[in-house]
Formats: sequence, structure tokens, C-alpha cells
Amino acid sequence: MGLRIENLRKEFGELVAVKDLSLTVETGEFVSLLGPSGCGKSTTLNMIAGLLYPTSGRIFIDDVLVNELPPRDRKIGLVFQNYAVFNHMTVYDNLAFGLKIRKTPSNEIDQRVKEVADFLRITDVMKRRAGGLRLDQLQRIAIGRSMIVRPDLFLLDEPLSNLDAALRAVMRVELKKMQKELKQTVMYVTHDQLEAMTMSERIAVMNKGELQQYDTPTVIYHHPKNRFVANFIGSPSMNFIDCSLLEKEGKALLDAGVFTIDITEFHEMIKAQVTSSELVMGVRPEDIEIMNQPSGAGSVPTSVYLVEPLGAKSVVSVSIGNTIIKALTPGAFKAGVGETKWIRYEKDKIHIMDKKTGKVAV
Amino acid sequence: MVKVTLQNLSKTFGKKTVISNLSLQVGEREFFCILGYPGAGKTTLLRLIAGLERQDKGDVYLGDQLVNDIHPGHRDVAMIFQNLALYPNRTVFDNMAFPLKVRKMGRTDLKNRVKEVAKTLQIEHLLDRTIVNLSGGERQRVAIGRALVRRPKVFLMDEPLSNLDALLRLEMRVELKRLQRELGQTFIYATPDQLEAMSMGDRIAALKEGQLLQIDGPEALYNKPKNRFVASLVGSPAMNFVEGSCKQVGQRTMLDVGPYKIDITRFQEALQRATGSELTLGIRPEHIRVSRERGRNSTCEVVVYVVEPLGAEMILHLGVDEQLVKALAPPGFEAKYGDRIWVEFDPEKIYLFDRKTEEAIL
Repeated sequence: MGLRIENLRKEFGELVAVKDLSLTVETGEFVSLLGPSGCGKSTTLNMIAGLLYPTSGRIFIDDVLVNELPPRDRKIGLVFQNYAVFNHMTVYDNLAFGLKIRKTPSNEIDQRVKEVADFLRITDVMKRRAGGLRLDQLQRIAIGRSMIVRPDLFLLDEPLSNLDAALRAVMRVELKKMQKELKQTVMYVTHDQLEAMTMSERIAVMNKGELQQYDTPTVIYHHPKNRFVANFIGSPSMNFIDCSLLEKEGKALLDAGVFTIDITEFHEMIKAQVTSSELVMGVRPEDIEIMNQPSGAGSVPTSVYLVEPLGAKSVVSVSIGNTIIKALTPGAFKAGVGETKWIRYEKDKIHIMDKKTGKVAV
Repeated sequence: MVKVTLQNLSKTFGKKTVISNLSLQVGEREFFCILGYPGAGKTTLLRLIAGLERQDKGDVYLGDQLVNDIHPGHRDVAMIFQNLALYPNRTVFDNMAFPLKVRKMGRTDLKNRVKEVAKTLQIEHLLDRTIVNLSGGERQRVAIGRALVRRPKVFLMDEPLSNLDALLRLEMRVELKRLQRELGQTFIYATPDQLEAMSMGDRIAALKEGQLLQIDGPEALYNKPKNRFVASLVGSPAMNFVEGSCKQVGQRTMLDVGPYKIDITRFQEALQRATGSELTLGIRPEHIRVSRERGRNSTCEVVVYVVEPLGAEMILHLGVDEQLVKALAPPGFEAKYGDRIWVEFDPEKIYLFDRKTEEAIL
């Protein structure tokens, strides 16, 4: 087992930053800790690295209890948002640093530096001082410096946040490719759902110090356990519409005010899991079809609020009463603000959750 | 809300040319985006308009007024930066009233003006709160409000959303565009993020090393990029480029890109514009179809390198010969590292660029 965390807890005075977190990471697995600022993801990472001492709980790296081990004895590599690179040293010396202080023979250092540099595509700048390099090159060096000592566990804390969007996309793929080929165990902290979705084998979604869901990207996307996860994953975000459950003549209806949906088939399942008749319906933007004319019984009239062209797709925001709903349509979408359009969605594409607890029932 | 005209603007810092003979006109009430990588000259351009830098050559007009010799304080231009520069421990009211106090406006007038602007921005209820107690979105509104009380002629915004969480950035995009429409103000917005530019801009100026490469609406920029740089800048994942050369085979003109050949006879007329037979083929990832089996129209066999699930779809990074090509696949598509699969693409949706000049041919 690459990493095992048992009931990990960290308190800062009154504040519980991490609340009894348990999870395991297999050897060679890429796991992301995902959540908004302040959710406890960096605190968790820092405890694993040994930079923070847990209030309670246990941490095992490669089945060794490391709670009492200082960071340098934990066989971990650490990379942060700000590149820990010596500006005055050459790229070569930066990469070789970790091996030199471990007194590795110089021919072996040479070989491993070349290997790593080749991998990270920084061979051409090996003799340059790090200070004058581009941000992505600096981050490659920082990653290389940690990688070269062959850590059992690689910990990365938002390593791509300082790069611009285009470079981020490139580095995402290179990091993932490197991890696959080296079969490196990685724990990756990010607030960006796209990074977590694209790179991870599994994602641990956190909020307010608590683990919300721990699953593969596909499961998290299609079967979120609660409203927080549903909202946090996917871009543009899922639409949420407040509804109430009506029971009429043996049928169950979801009443959103401006429209109702027959959900008799899910009735038993929903009733067993919710605390009241106040529900929330969730639909992803790509599951909503936008039409010029009403078609079928489920069509709902809306008024166009805003069109955002993205090239291959357009995000169309429409309003129904006071609710704004986003739909994703392929290609360009021509419509003026205030124009009437109809929307429709498949019933099996909706998520129904309890308004009070946020728990997904269907 | 005036139009902004730049004529033959040039600016050098020492030996480095930052803005090179640039002319453009921004319309009244237009949301105009300046898109380019870091170092393209976006910020310098904004600073030239604001008067914070003095151009070496060329003219800046606000409306019909030549402002070259007008002090920044008297240009009636509002600039909003990435870090917003609000006073964190002062109230919203104090922050918004600040520019008016500096101008020694009378108490009653000042109060009325701040309230009026706060009402437009829907932050009236926050006037007594301090900035530290506001959300990111609310702070953004206060920063705009503080600029708005001065009744500026034009708003200049320098990457105002870069410091925000991914999810909040998404919300603020819609907010800002909506606000600009409602205020009827001229916005000039600099960003390295093509998604921001595409979704908010009425028109977008693509900037590279101080030179203007194309000004167009988002759809035109995506569908008809004038050169390879713009083609690579707009769209996510970015367009694929493959080097090839034109060959005459009997009556047909074929583009040979190594693993396959494409018939480009029908572009005969356009091909006259090329300076040689060396071309670059451009294909957007969304126009490549993947399949497990060889189909009738399959172009070639490829190896799967990296799979990036996005939820609604997935990006596949595919190896063709020595090159990597990205394709978008439907969410259910099964592919893992090392799989061999087939690709095909729509011959109507290709782009051709002159390899030497990098200009678009089609």
C-alpha cells in the first residue's frame, strides 16, 4: 500500500481543519485531494509530509507508521506552487542537489540527472542558471529535483497554479505521462476540478475538513453523493432547481413552480432517503437540450439571459422565473438576450437531492 | 462610454520592442478583449491607454480627444488590476467613496453618488461591511464600484479574475459580461485565458510579441484564424498541427503528412497563395473521431498515451509516428494507456497553413 491514513485529525484552536479523515492510496496510484480554499487539503498534505503534526490519527507510507518520523526520513518528494529552485545554481546543479547531499557517486548522479532532464524536456537548458528561466521550466526543475531521489510517495500542492492556462494543459499531460511510466505513487492537491478529473485514478473531494466522496473521476462525475460534489465537479457547473415533492392520485410529481416532472418511478427510492418533501433537482448543462420550438411534453419555455461562445461549444444561460439555467450546446448559438427558447432534458439524466442535507437520493 | 482609438502605437523598453506599430479601434459600449501569452504586451497596452506609460510613437484617442499629453489622472480612465487593491479593513462605503474624497467632493453629493453606484451593482446591503468579510465576487463588484463612482469613460481590466478559484472564476465571467451590458460601458479586458476572452469578448484582439495578429469576434477567431498562432491560441484543447508537403499525383494534389495522405485538390485555388509546397495541417481535437475498429473512412492507426476524462467528454492524447495528437472522445469511450485505436477526420474541417509564413491558406 502506497499510503494509508487512519482517522487523521488536525485542530487549530477551535477550528477543526481536518476531521477524522481515512483513505488509502495504492502503490503507483495517482490520487487528488480536491476542494475549495480552506477545505483542509493542504493541511492533510502537510501532515503526510511531516510538516504538521496531527492532533490525532495515524499515517502509514509503504506500510510504515511515519507519525514520529521527521520529514527527511519519510521518503517523500514535495512540490509546491512556488518553485523551490536555487536561482544562482545551474539547472544541472539544482537537479543533482538531492543526490549530492546523499553522497551518491558522481557517475551515478550524472546518469540520473540526464535521465530526469530528458524526461522533463529541460536537457537544452542544463547549463543555464535557473534564475533566468521561464515559469514552466522552473516548475519542471522543481519536479525533477524531487523526482530524482526516487521517493516512495510524491506530494504535489497546486504545482500548476502559477502557470497560464495553455501551459497548464501541457504540464498536466506531461505529469500524468511521467507518473504512468514511472508507476509513481502521487498525492496531488488542487482546487481545480479539471486537473483532478484529468490526471487522477481516484479523487478525494473535501469540504470543511471532511471527506465528501472518494471515487474514480467517472463515478464522481456521474454519481455524485451530495450537492457539494455535484456542484464542484464539471464545468460549467450543474444546475440546481428547488422543487417540492407532490403526491397526487397515486403519482409523484416534482414541482419546480414553473414546471412539474412525473417521477413516480423513483418515488419509493426518494421517499426512503429524504427528510422532507423539499427537494433539489440537479441537471448538468450538457444534458439540457435547447430548442427554437416546443417539442414533446417536457418542453419548458425560457428566456435567453446570456450566450457565451467557446468555439466548439456555447454556454447558453436561460432564465425561468428567477432561476438561471445553463445549457451547453455544440457549435455557435444565435440568440438575442430576452428571446424565448425551449429547453428539454431526459428524465434519467436528473439528480434528485434532499434540500436540507444535500444528499443525492437518485 | 467612449470609443478608444490607437494609431500606430509603438513602445520600447530599452532594446526590447513591447508594442509594435499597433492600430485598433474599440467601439462605444464594447467588451473588447486583448488575448495573448504572458509577455505579449497586454499590460503595456492598457498602461499606454491609461497614460501610465508614454508611447514612443503613435496616438491614443479617447472619443475624439487626442490624449497623448493628458495626465493619467485627467484621462477619466478606470483601471482594475488582478489584486483589486481594495483597503481590506475599511468598509465598502469607504472604499467606494475614496476617489471622491480625494477629489474633495461634498458630503451629500458623495453619499448620493456612492449609493447610486452601489444600487446599480446590487451591493447596497454591503455598504457597512468591511472588505475582509466579503466573498471574491462581492470584492470584484466593490472594485468596479470604486472605479464607477468617478464616472470613467472607459474601463481597463488587467486579468481581474486570475486570483480567483476556478469555480468562482466561472461565475464572475457571467457576472462581468452581464454588468458591462447593463452599465453600457466600454471595457478593455486583458487576459491570457482564451476561455475568458471567447466567452466575454464582443471582439478579441490576438496579440503576440507586441504585434496584433487578428481582431475578430469569437466565432470568426475560432472558425477562421488568419494564422497558425491564432489557431493555436483559441480553442481548448488546442488545435493539432502536423507538418506535411504537397505532392502532385496524376490529376490530384495530395498532402503527404507521413502516416497518411489527404486529397486537397479541391483547394487548388487557395494553394496558389502558399509560398512553397511545405504546409502545416491543422485539425481541431473536436473534429477527430476515434473508434476501436477500423472503419471505412479510417485514416490511420494510433496509440493511446494519456486519457483525460472531463466528465462530459474525454481528451485522448494519441501517438502517430513520433507526433502527439489530441482528440475528443465521447465519455463512454474505452481507452487506456497503450491501446491501439483508429482515427478519422472530416476533410471539410481541416486548416492549412503555409509552413514558412505561418499564414492560413484556406
